[in-house]
Amino acid sequence: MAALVDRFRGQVFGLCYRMLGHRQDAEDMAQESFVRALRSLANYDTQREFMPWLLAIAGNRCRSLLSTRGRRAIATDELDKVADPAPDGQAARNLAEEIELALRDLRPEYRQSFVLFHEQHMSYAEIAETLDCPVGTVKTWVHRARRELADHLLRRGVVEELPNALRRV
Amino acid sequence: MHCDEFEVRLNEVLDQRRQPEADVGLADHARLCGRCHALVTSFQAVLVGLERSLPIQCTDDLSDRVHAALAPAATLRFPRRRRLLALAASAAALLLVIGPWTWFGRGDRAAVPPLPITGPSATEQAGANSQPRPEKEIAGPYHTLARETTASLSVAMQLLPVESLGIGGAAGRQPRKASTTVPAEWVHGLTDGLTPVTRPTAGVMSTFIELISVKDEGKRS
Repeated sequence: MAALVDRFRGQVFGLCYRMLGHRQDAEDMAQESFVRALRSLANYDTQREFMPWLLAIAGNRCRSLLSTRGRRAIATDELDKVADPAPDGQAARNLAEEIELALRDLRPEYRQSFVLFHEQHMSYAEIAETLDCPVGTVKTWVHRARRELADHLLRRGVVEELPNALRRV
Repeated sequence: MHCDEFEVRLNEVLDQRRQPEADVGLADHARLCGRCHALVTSFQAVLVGLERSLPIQCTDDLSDRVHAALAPAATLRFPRRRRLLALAASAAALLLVIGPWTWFGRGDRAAVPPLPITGPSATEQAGANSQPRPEKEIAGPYHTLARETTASLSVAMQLLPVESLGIGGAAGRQPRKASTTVPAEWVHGLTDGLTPVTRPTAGVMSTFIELISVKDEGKRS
């Protein structure tokens, strides 16, 4: 059991953190996801990949929590740092925080599919299996997530200041 | 190329389904269109920002927390099973105790009638001046000897022809078919196996003889 948790904790916690934007909530949801998965191991279809199945449980738990507290992810500790409406040069250095902020404004299904694709490096087919929806739908969600994130950065004036920063990366 | 088509192709590049070097039109449009150029820059910023904002690591005690969360469920899930196991174990133990006792006890009762050997003989009672003997003394070596003698005698009573003994059989037992002649060697061989009778046992024996002897239809030799 410990080996299984250690093997997948990064992926599960990463998804939960991206979905919820709050460390403690993410840890609680990661724990609950593992507990649910371990209790449901008897019902696990061995024909399926394990990680998409596990991440599906985690995603469902996170979306359930989001639906109870409102759709938007809340980060009480980090929100204040990036909430200024007119970012200056500091925003470019805080690009990561801007992305986190933008992610929290996305719809949960956009956010989950975007994180699974770009951060968990899952294929569209795997994401479709995880979210139990068609591949085309997943593609649309990922494309819309990219577009909304890009618009967020443009709106906040982050991109105009980025070229120099991006060249350093 | 229209801007909408440019965005579709750009997404295909990000999906790793299109090589940007192979699509000359894509690069040309991005150079000419400021809006699409900003879009390319924004997409790049999103991916760079995502790399920079790798989520913080989970605490190390996650597996312990999962284990702790599973443990109460395990104890809650099995109490009924544990109760059944305890019940089954109790029933098995009861059968182990009662089964042999019932089986062999019944056989002993059929073979040998119960004996009132807990009390002293009439002679001893008279000698003891009507004082009740303590239980510990009754269950002493005399008691064991009496039991052995009684068992030997009961075997003899079953084997010996009734007529030769001149007494009736034990109550409820069919007497063995009598033979007219009893070889003397057979009787001596049988008696060789008997436990020697000692004085204390004689009192028990007399009680036993009184028990099995005879009711109205019996006769003493």
